[in-house]
Amino acid sequence: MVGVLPGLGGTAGLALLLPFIFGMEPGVALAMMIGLTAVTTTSDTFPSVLMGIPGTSGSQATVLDGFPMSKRGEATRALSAAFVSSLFGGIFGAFVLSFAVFAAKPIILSIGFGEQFMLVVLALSMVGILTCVSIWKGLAACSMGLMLGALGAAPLSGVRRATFGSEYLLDPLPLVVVGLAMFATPEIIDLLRRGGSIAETGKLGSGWLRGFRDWLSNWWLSLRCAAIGCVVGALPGLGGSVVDWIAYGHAVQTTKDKEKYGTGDVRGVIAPESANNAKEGGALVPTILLGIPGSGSMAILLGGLVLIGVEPGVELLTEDLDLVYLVIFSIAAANVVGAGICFALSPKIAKLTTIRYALLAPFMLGLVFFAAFQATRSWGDLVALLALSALGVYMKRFGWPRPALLIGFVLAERVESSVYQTVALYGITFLQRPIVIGLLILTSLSVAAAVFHKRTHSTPMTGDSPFTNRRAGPQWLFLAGIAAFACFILWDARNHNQLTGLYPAVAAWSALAFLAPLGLGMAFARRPGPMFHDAERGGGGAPGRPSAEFFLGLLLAMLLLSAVIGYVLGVASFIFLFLRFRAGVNTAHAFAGAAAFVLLLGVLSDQLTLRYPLGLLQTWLGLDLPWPLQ
Amino acid sequence: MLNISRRLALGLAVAVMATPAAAADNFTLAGKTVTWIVGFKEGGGTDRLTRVLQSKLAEHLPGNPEVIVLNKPGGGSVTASNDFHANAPNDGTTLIMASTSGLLPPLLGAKVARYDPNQWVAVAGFSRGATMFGISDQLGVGGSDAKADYAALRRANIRFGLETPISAEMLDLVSLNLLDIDARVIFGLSSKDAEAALARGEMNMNTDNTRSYLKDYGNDPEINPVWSYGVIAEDGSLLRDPDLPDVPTFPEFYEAVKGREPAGPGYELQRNLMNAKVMLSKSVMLPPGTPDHIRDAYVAAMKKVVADPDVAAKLPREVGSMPVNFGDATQRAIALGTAMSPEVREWADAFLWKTTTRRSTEPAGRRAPFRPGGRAGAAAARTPRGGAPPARGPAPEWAGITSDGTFRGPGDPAGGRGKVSRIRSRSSERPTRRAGPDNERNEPCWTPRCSPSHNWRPRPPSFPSRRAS
Repeated sequence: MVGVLPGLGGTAGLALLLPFIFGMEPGVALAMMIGLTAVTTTSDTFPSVLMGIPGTSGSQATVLDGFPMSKRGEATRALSAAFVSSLFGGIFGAFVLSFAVFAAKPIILSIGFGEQFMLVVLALSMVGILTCVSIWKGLAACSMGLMLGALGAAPLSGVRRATFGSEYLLDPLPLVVVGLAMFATPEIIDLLRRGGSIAETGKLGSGWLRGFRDWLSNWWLSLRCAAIGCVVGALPGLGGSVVDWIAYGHAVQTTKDKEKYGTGDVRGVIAPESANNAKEGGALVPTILLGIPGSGSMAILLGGLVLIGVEPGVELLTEDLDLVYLVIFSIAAANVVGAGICFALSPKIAKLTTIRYALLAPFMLGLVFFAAFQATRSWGDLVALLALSALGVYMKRFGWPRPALLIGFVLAERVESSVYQTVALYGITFLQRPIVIGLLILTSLSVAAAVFHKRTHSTPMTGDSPFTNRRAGPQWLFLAGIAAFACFILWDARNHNQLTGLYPAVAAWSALAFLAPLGLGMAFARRPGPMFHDAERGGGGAPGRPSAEFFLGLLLAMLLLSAVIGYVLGVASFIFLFLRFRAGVNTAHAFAGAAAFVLLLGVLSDQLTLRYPLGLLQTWLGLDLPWPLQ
Repeated sequence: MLNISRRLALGLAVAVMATPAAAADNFTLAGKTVTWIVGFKEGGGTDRLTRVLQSKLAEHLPGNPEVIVLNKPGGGSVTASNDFHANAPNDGTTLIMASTSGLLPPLLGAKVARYDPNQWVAVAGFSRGATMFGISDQLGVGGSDAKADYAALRRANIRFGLETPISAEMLDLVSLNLLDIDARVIFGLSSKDAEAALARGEMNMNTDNTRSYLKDYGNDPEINPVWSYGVIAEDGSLLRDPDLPDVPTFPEFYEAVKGREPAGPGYELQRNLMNAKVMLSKSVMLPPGTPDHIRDAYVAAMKKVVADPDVAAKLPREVGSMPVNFGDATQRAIALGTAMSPEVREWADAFLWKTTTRRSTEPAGRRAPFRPGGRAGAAAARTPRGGAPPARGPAPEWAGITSDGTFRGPGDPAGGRGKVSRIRSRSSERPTRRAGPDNERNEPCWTPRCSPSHNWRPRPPSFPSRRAS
């Protein structure tokens, strides 16, 4: 259930469980913890597919095709395919785990710094295939992600880079916030501008069997992606957050008709969902074998294991083999039960997509901000979300691939430390290692797939399409903004020594290097072309609709209001005013909607010991409001 | 008249004497909610220990309040500590679980840390032994003969991984430096990464808390401890780690191989860091200005919590078997762990500066020095911010003092400040950068052994293949 609420995810759920597992039977506690982690990767599909909000970092890629399917009215089909894939991936993960715990140790130990570096490079090469029509935009967006990942504490020296004097940026930007800003808010704003409901037809097609058949006909893809998920989850170096992107990229690379990806291809749902459930089984391999967690939720699981008196490590295999099998069985059982519950719930939940969106949007926005707030539980999360949302909205408008940015961002820290560690330890000799060579070949194949992939676009690039070269002023402004950001990063980098400053400098230079051909292309183009894109031109922006800036302004207003009267009251007033005046609901219903949301926040704060951001009302006037309102 | 005033005085005296006792008796948290702040995410070591203690603390505090754990992650607990220092009410309803990583920034004078743990009121400190260990067949250390180990370490190609130079592992870096042991240091490895790299044999030396060491490698003949950091007894003397009774403490090791006791600012720093890392691995603190009777109530409650059989059974798994210190003893350890004399501070700054600039990621000969922005010459000649005079002499192109003052170079004009607690405003005072080399010239030798290889200049790191041949 925890996974349904975006932003909470398995980590928060596990933390929720920790106090309860004291004094429990180790077996029961273990099964509960594993069950919780395993199921969230299934249930987080709901927000991804239905609302376009990535529920956890593992389901970001699902949004790309799952959400367009919902928009087409195929939410049921997408969910069904996703749950079957999740179920399959989870069971596959458990199956692999039951063998891997005996044999995988030498494999895991053979992945040194050089191999980790090549894995990162391989993952980065996925950017190529995920870019849209303009390769330069894709590369520049990826560099932008690499630069965003350079903010905050440097992984090598702990020195704080480009913090803008803010305490929030002592740490790097949280992935949840970047993910929400790239996918959730731009989509919500887009839907609001369009009006109507999420499902454009307003109807919810039946698609249970269809989703299952989709999976059956793509079982080979699902199997490969599950294997990828297992391997990436088990190996050090990449971490769980990129699993879905790698699987997605793999699906795009290996299919012939690529054009439909991103517009609601069911294979784009099957691939990441198979992989992200299989990942949990994979991540348990090093957790059990070496006592070294393979992912964030595994780190908490490890803590939980220690709490209940189980010492992870090789001894577990020799002394407590039954416990290991209990773990494996729990994963498999949790996946079956989780998928079953999700199946049962989804007809009801999928109906959300047929509701008029203006009624849904304020709650969605409230949830998105709540999810972002879970990252570090400070005001900074909300401000960062708003700022990055603006970036996301314009990237969407100007045709910059947002997945590329996200991949760059996710891998930023790994790029920085693995390059440094490899070079510092091996120099160029790391290329002599056999696994490195193998990965190098895979990477070249991946790059070749991107290079030889003909980027055809369904609609012709004419003066009337979004690719028009007329009135490109806003695009120039956006380009200049990115370039200015790169220059700022460069300027900041020169205040640091090599250990701290080399990485942001390289990221910024590469961004500038990719922006240059884009800018030149735009400057000298006489015809519409792939370097231009503005969704507002060529029929996209019908007159009379409120602009995206209007909704960004609304969000800003909500934050300002929250700064005065506190987050809970601020969001409540936002929901009330939005429902009353934009959606035209009568006062009583609008008030009830706002009150329900406040109650939800109150219950969550009670259960999770959260403290919502306070406003001037509380800090300045010292007003102490009663329970659900503070 | 005299009688009355005497009576009055007597009464007053009685009242004064009675007040604390009465207040302590009357102090109750019944019906209140006690918020226990943890500056890290759920599931980490600090969070786990807090949750082990949480429910029992509620039982033993007067009035049995509800105790909740509030996780406020950010900046390695700096964010939570700043907020705690400035805003926490001192009525016993808010306390913090501090850890080593929260004590280091103020110890090292980082500007982002706007708090002074010395002003916090200590309730209890959980110490946790730490040790340095290595792979025997790579390093030639056996763990039995200090002199032989030392000779082997001086010859060996040591590869030591740690997260950042300003983490708790700075203790190990300083210790290696005091012994003139030259280790190749690889940054960016969290403790689990370093552990994995040790398992792969890519790293051959590592540090960990004693409990983890014993659990992971206690029966492994290939991985042996070289020294431990010991434990400080009540009388202030350094004893051996109770879990590693056969392993010499760092000063013992030093004396055995160098023939003299360690001394000087470097060793002072080592002791500061040892206090912060070992003695105050985790500490329970109340906000500044908390009255004594509240502290006493908490100390008494915490003593009962630690003695509780449930907690006592779990504590060894979390922190090992070192004794827990309470109240004044913890406060003393904080004073020792966070107070630093100016010359020690200067030594520490110089050391950090050297550590982060000396090793370039590539052999310097193959590549021009790093020049962010491509205008290195201009950068070097630039007047440092804050109107300070330009750096004298030939400053290196990329002499690197951090932009936010996380640590500063030895020549920092603000470096001579004596108080740890000094809170610097953001705008008025910024550390001067690129001033390091001047001081380097004035104090030509600040390592025990003055050799070119210990100079601050970058030099090509030696590669495993070359060393092996």
